[in-house]
Amino acid sequence: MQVKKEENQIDEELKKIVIARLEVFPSDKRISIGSLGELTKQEMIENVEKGTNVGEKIIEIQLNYLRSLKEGIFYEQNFVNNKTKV
Amino acid sequence: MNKTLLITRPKYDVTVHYLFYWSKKIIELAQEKGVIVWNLEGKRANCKEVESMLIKKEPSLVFFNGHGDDDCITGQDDEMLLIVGKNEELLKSKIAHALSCRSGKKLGSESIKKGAIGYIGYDDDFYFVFDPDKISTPLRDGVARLFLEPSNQVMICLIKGHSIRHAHERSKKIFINNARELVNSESEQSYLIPYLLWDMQHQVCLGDKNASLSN
Repeated sequence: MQVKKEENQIDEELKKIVIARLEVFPSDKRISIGSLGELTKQEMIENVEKGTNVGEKIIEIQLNYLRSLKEGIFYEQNFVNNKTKV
Repeated sequence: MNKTLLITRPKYDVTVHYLFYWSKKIIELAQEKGVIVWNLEGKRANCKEVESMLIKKEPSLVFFNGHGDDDCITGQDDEMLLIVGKNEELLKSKIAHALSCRSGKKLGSESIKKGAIGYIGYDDDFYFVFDPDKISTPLRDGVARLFLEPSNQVMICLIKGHSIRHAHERSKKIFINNARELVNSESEQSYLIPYLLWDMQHQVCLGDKNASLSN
C-alpha cells in the first residue's frame, strides 16, 4: 500500500516536471505524432495530465532527453559509440 | 544494382502533406543523378499499385512516406501497403527506407529475413514540429526543416551511391548537429531538442550495411 502511494506520488511529480518543460513549447507551433495527429502545446499538456497513451509517450520523450543529457549525448565520443542500433 | 527508385507519397493529412513536399526534393535529386523514378503520389499510393511496381519494375531503392506501425506501412487514406505476413517479401533484393512511425521495429526485420538487402526506418514514433502558418509552403517551414532535412539525408546518401551504413550515420549526425546548435546558441527553439534526439535514437539500420546503389 505504501509502495503504491509512493509510486503515485512519483508519477505526479514526473507529470509536473514534464508539464513545466512543455510550457516553453510555443503556442503557435504544433507537433506531428504520426497517425495520432497533430497537437498544440495545450493538447500535449492535457494528455500528460490525463495520463493518456499520448501523454505517457510525451513523458517518455522528455525523460529520455534528460537521461541522454546525463549520459553526455552531446559529447562527440558518446555519439560515435552509440551510433548504430541493430 | 540498377538505378531505380520507387517512392510512395500519400497526401491526405497534415503529417503526410509535409512528407509529400519534402520528398519532392528526393525525386529531383534522383532525376539529376540519372536514377529512374516511379512516383506513386496521392491516390496512386495504394497497395495494388505498390505491389505491381515492386514485382514488375523491381526497383533497387524504395522510399515510403506515410504512417506506419510495428508491422506495416500505409499509403493514401491509411491503406496498408506492406504488412508482415502478407507481402513483406516484396522488398526482396531491395534497399528500403521508410519515413514513417515504427515500421523499423518488425516490418524492417521481417523484410530482411525474407531477402531485403537493407532497411532504414524508425522503431518508434517519428515526431516533427511544424509551424501551422507554413502549411501551404512546407518547404519554407524552418522548424520542420530541422527534422526533415536530417531524415531526408538517408535517401540523399543512398541516391549518391553511399552505403546504407553511411546513410544512416549521416542522417543521425545531422539530427545531433541540429540539436547541438540549439543547445549551444541557447536558442528559443531549445524545446525541439528532445524530439530531435528521439528521432535520431530511434532510426534503425538493418540488413547488409555495406550495401549501396553502387554495388
